[in-house]
Amino acid sequence: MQGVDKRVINNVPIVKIYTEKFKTVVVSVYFRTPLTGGSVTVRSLLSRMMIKQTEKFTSNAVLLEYLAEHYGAHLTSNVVKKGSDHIVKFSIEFVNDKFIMEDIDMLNDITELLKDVLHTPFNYDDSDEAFFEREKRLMTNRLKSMRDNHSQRAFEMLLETMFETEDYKHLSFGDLDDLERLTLDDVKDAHRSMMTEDDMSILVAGKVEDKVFDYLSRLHSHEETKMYPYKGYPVRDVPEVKYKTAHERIEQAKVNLGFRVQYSEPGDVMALNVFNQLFGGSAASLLFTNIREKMSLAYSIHSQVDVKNGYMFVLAGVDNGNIQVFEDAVKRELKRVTDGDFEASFVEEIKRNMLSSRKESMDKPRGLISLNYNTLLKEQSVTAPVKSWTEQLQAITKADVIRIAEKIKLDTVFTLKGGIDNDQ
Amino acid sequence: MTNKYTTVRYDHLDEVVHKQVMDNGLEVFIIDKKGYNKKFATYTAKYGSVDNHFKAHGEVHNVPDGIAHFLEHKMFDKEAGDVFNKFSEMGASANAFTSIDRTSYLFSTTENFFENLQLLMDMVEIPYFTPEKVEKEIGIINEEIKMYQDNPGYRLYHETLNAMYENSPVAIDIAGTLESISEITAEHLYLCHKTFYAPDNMVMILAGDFNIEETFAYIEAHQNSRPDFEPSDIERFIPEEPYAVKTKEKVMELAVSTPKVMLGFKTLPDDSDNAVRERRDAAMLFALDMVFGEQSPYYEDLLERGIVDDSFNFAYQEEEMVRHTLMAAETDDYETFTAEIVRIIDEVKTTDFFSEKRLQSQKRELMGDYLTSLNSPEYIANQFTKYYFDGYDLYNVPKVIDSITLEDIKNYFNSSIDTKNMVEVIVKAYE
Repeated sequence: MQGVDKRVINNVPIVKIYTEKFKTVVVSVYFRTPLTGGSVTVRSLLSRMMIKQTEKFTSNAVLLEYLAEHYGAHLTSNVVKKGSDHIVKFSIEFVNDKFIMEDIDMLNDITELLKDVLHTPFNYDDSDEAFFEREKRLMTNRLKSMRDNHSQRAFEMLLETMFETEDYKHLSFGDLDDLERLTLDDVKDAHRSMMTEDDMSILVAGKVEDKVFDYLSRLHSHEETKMYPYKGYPVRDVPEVKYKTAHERIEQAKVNLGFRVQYSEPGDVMALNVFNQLFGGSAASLLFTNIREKMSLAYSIHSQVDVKNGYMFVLAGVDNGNIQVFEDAVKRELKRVTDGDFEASFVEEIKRNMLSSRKESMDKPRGLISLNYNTLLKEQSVTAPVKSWTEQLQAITKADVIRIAEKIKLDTVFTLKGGIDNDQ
Repeated sequence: MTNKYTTVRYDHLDEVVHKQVMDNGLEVFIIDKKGYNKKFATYTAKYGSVDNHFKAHGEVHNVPDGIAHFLEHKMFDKEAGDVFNKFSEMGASANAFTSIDRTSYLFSTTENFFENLQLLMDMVEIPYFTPEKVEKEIGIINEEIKMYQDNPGYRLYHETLNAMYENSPVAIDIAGTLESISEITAEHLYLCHKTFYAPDNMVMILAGDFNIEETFAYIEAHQNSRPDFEPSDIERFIPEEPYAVKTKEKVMELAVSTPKVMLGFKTLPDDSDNAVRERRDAAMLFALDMVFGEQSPYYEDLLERGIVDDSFNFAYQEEEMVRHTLMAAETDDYETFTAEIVRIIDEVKTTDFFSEKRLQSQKRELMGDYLTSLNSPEYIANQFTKYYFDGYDLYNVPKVIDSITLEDIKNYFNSSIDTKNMVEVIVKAYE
C-alpha cells in the first residue's frame, strides 16, 4: 500500500509518497544552497517571516485563524545544515479528508496557502517595515534565550573553536551580530535568490491521489533545472589538539570533544555511522556502558556525527573535578575500538538496531519525507548506481569499524566549567 | 471458544482497542495500528514521586524523597548485568521515566517482540538490589540532579511549585536531593517494589501491528506463571493542603541572559468526579488559548509593546493532587508582565470576552491536533496510560471536546483562576 512516485514539473521535482497508515498528509518544500556565513542569518529570519503573515492573511492572527479552521493545519519552517549546504524547509501537516465533516477542499486550500507563503516576500514594501522589525526582535530574543541552555551554548562554543576559519562554524539559525545589521532589503534579496537560484524540491506523504501533482506544481516554477551536487567539506588534517575553557556559574561542567574523520574511501561514511552508534550514539554504546554505568562519571553523555562531513562530537555533563578523568576515559574507549577490544556480535547488534530505527522513521510522515529527500539528493549527485542504504549497512564488518576508528582524530576539547563567576 | 478479551472499535477515528484483565489483576490493552513497523510496549506502575508516605498491608511507611525515580534506575541493573544491553541485543530500544504519579518502563522494536516483552516483564517484576549497587547509583543520579539544576527553565518551574504548595508532595523534586537519595537502602527498594509493582497496581499498553489473540495468550501464560499475589491494599497519606499559596514572591539568581518569570495561580483540587475534571481541563485549555494564545488581541498587544515574545507560554494542570495555572515568559520587564496578566484575567472575568465563533474554530484545531498525535503509537501508549490512571479514556477526547459550551468556558475560567492566590517567581542574572 506504499509507493513512491517522482515527477519533475516546471523543472521542480515533486515526490509523492503514498501511504494509508496516517491520519494526516504532510507537504514539505525544500530550498537548498551552498552554506555561506553571509546568508544563514537572513535566510533564517526570512523563513520565520514567511510563515507569520502573507499577502492574503495580513496578520499572524488571521493566518492562525485560517489554519485553525482547517483542522489545526500546522505550518512550520526550519533551517538546517546538510553537507556543505544550508536548507530552508517549509512544511504543512493537515488532517486527511476522511476525518473532515464539512465541505472543505483541503488540498486546494493548503496549496493556495503555501503558494501565498512562498511568494509574499516578492511584494514586501515599506509597509512591512514594522513587521520586519518585530520579527527581528523576536529572533534576537530567541537567539539570546538559546544561550541560557548551557549545554547548547557549550556546543556552539566548541564549533566556534574547532571551525574557526571554516563556514561550518555558522549555526543553521544564524547569529546575533549578523541579525543586528539586517535590513528588509536584505530579506527581499535573500528571498529572490532562494526562489530563483536554490535547488527546490517538493515532497508529499499520506493518502493522496495523483491529482496532488497538479496541485503542487502550481507552487512555483523554475525556468531551468537547478540541481547542485550534494557534497561534504573536504577532509582536513589535525596538526594538534586545541583546548579551550570558559567559565560560568553552573553546577556541572559541560565537556565537549570534537573529532575529524580522515575520510579516504566511499565506504567510510557508513562505517562512521555504525561506529558512532557503537561508540556513544545509543544506550548500548561504549560511552554509555563504561563511562556512565560503570564509572558513574556522567548522567548525560553521548556522541553524535555529521556523517556527510566526517565530524564527530562527544558531549557530556560531568563534575568539575572529573574533567581530565573524563577526557582520558573517552580516549581510552576510542583506543578500545582501534585495539579491536569488542565483539563482532556487538557490531551486528548495532546494525540491527540501526535498521530498526530506519524502519521506525517510516512510521512517521515526516520521517518518510526526510528519507525520500535524502534519496532524491543522492540521485541528483551520483551518476553510477549505488548500493541501497540497507546493503551498505549490511556490508559493514568489525574490521570496517576498527578501520574507521583509526581515522578519527581529536581536534578540539571545549569545556564550559562551573564554579567560577567569570563569563568569558 | 470465546475470547477472553474485549474489543472496542472507534470507527470515526479509525482506531481499535482490545483489553484483557489477567487473573492476577493486571490490565492489558492492545492498540491496533495496522501497517506500522514498530511495536511499542509500556508497563507502568501507579507509583510516583508523591508516594513517600503510605500504609500497605497494615504497616505505615515513610520513605526518602526521590525513591520512585531511584527504583526506576535500579530496575535495569540486575545480577547478570545491565538490562538496557539485553534489549539492544534483541533489537529493541528501552527507556523509563518517573513522574509525580507513575513509573513507566517501555521498549520499542521491529523484531523479537515476544522475547523483548518477556525481558520487560521479568525486569519489572523481579527485583534485585544490593547495597553496593545502591551506593553506585547515587553518583549517577547526583549528576542527573545537577544537570537539572543547571537548567533555568526547570528551576523556575520547580520553584514555582515550591512557592505554591505548603505541604503537598507534588512540590518535591522527582529525583529527590543528594541528601534524600543518600538515605535510600536496598530494603526501602524491596518494600516499594513489593507494594507498588503489584499486578493490580499496574497497567500494560501495547501499540502497533499485532496478532491480538497470540499476544494476549502470551502475556496470560506469563502472568499465570507468577506467584500468587495478595490484592494491593495501599493507603496513601496526603497531607492537608491550605488554599493559600506558601510564598507569594521569590527571586533567584542564575546564569541567564534574559530574566525569566513564572506565575502560578493555585486552586486546590476539589471532589469533582472524573467526568467533570476532564471537561474542566478541556474548557481551561480553550479558555487560556482564547485569552492568551497567539490569535488573541491581548497577546498581540503584549507582543507589540515588547512585554512578551514567543517564549510566552501557559498551561492549566489538573490532576488528582494538582490544580493550577502557570504562565511563563522571558522578559526584562517582568513587573509589567505580571501586572498585565493579572489585569487581563480580571478584565476577562468581568467582560463578555469569549465568543462562539472562536470556540468552534478552536474545537476544530484541537481535533486536528488530536488526530495528528494518533499517528504516533508512542504517544498513544504513553497518553493512554496517563488517561487510564487519571480515570479518563484517551478515545473519549472528541466527545469531551464536542461537549464544551461557551458557558463552560466562562464558568471554569472564573472559578479556576484566582489572581489573589498567585505566586511570582523570577530568575535573573547574577548581580
